[in-house]
Amino acid sequence: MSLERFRVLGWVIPILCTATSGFFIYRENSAFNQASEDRNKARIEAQQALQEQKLIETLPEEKKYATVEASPTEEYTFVTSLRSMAVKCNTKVSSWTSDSSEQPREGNQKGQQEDPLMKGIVKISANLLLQGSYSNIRTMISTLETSDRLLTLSNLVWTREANDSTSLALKVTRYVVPKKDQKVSSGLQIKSS
Amino acid sequence: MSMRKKDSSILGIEFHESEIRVIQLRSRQSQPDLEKMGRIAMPIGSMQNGYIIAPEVVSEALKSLLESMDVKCTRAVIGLAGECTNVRTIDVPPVCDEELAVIVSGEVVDLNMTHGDQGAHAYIRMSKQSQLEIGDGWRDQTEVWMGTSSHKAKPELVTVFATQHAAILCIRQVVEGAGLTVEAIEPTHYAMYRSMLKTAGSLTTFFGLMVGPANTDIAVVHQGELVAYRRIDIGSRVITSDIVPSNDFAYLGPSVEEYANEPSEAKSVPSNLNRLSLEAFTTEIHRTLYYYQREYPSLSDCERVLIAVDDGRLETLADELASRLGLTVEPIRPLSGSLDRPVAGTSFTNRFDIVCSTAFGLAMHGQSLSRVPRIDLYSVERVAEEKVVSIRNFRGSILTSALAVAVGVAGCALYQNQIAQLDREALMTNTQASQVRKAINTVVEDRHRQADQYKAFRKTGIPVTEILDSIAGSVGPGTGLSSVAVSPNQQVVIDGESASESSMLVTIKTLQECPLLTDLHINWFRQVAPEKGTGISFELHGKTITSDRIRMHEETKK
Repeated sequence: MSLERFRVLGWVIPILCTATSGFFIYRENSAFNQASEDRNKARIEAQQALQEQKLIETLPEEKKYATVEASPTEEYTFVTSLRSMAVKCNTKVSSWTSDSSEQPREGNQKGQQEDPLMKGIVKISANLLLQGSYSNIRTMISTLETSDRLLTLSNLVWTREANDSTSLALKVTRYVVPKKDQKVSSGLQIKSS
Repeated sequence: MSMRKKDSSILGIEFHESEIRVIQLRSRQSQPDLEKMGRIAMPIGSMQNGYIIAPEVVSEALKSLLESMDVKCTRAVIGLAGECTNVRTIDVPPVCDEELAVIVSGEVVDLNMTHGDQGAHAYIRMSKQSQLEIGDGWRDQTEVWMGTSSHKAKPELVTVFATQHAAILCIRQVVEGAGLTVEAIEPTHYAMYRSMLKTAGSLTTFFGLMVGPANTDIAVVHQGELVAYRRIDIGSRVITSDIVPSNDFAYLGPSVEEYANEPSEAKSVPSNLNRLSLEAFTTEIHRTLYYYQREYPSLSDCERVLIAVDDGRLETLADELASRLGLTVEPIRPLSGSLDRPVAGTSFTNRFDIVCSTAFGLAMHGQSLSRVPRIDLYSVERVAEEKVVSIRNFRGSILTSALAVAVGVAGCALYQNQIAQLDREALMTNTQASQVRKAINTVVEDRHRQADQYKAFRKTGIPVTEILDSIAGSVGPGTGLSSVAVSPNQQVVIDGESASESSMLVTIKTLQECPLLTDLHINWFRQVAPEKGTGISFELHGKTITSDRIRMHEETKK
């Protein structure tokens, strides 16, 4: 009886141990395969993300922009370009006023929700009085309208004057945002304009 | 587990001091069937006084014999020489088998039957049948055994065979060296008794004489049941001491083929038996038979004596005893029936038949002769061996288990390590991917925001160029405009003069068709003061659109 018990145990114990070890190894193997699969998925996803990033980087930047960063030279730069444009279009800028007190509409009425697009943007308006021939003034206005930077024109008063001269009073509005640099970990620098 | 049918063949092997004798029997329909037989000379000096002293040499001789016989069977029952066994018949109380085994073990130790050695022993119960007819001498002893007079049970007789461990080891070494497995080890005299009973037939009553080299066992058989058993210390060695073996006798190591010819032992003549030994032998036999006939009244008229010898030179011993005892003494020839048909090795003829009773009886060990209990002096050794093997296997299994566990633990640990590494790598890659996605989203959102801002801010302006072009292009002949004003809420006021009413109307109509001007109407018109001319001045009111209504050139391209 004792010998039989030894014999039975001699078979049962190794089988149990081997089966248990096999079970655990099988389970760990499955877990390993799963982890390997997850790792491969992550790699593929990262690869796809990098490819998308490269694609985004290779896309041309929008030529047209609405705002520029606020800077001490912004006003100077704008006026200089305006006058240069006027000279080029043979148009006389008779008067120039600038007003940055006006803020863009961030909500139509009191109690309305703030428009997130307008948040932090400073609206700078300039009242211009241009004098010159119609065609020259038109050319200048067209140049202003088609410039890359968005300049909104309003409050138009077009008056014909003597000796075929034309005067055009209008308000030119431009937009600036507070200066900030956004950098992301990938090294891609996001310009605000 | 093998499903192969177990081979029923078995070998009976006797190591005689003159030769090795082998008989192979197969059980067919519960009857022994002789398959093969053979013998080879015992190598000189390999066996002395029943003990094998050169096991390797004997093993080689046995192996060569088996090869010459082309024996495939590996199970063997081995005969243990009478000199190696100690035989005692003892009285025991009538007890069950378990208790009897304990009692016999105690008696073996008490009688020092194994000479202080651990040794092995086996026992057989004498038949109770004849004890019922036994003389009155037993009665007193019965009361001693039972301790009470109410039970008249008589003591039992048990014959014990004991041997030393060294003899068992030698035989095992020889047999295993020849590539066989020990099925059992049985005293040679007892094997002779089995052959004798097989030859005499069941339900017979006789006295059996089993003559070995050094001693002779006497079995008293009543109606096929063994009633008594004793040993006397006269054997073939002293009886044949005057016979000089011829040159080619087995002692000199003849080959099997030489045995097939006329063995030289037959050249001896009966008159050469040692007279003194023969006389002593006859006297001892006579006394023994007389004693048993007196003790067992049912045997008083038994005059049949069977004799089995181990030496061919004793071929005439039966006749000598018959003449001296005045009884019928029959030598047994266990193969006499089998030799009528062709059997491998039967060229030995009757010369071998007379000495093969031991080997035949050993080969019959496994046969179903219910009246002849089996004796196995190897059982203790086998159990010990099995225990050792079992424990060794158990240790091996524990080692295997430990190895399996170790492999499992190591495998799990390695896998865990690899999995952790993969998880870290996946986490890092996912983090990197999410950061890149975040950057992409930031860029895309920023661009969308800029585009939305651009579109939203365009709503606050008016398309000045298009308005100017539309108005200027709509002025007909004879009409001139003095001013055009567009208020912040896109209200348009156009002042002008026309040479005639019709030209004014044409201009107004053309302006009303302009898509940039909606709801255009005449606010007022009047004749110009006569001193200033004949024309008509007018003022038009309408509404224009915001810049976002005009599709940009880039948008058109997209």
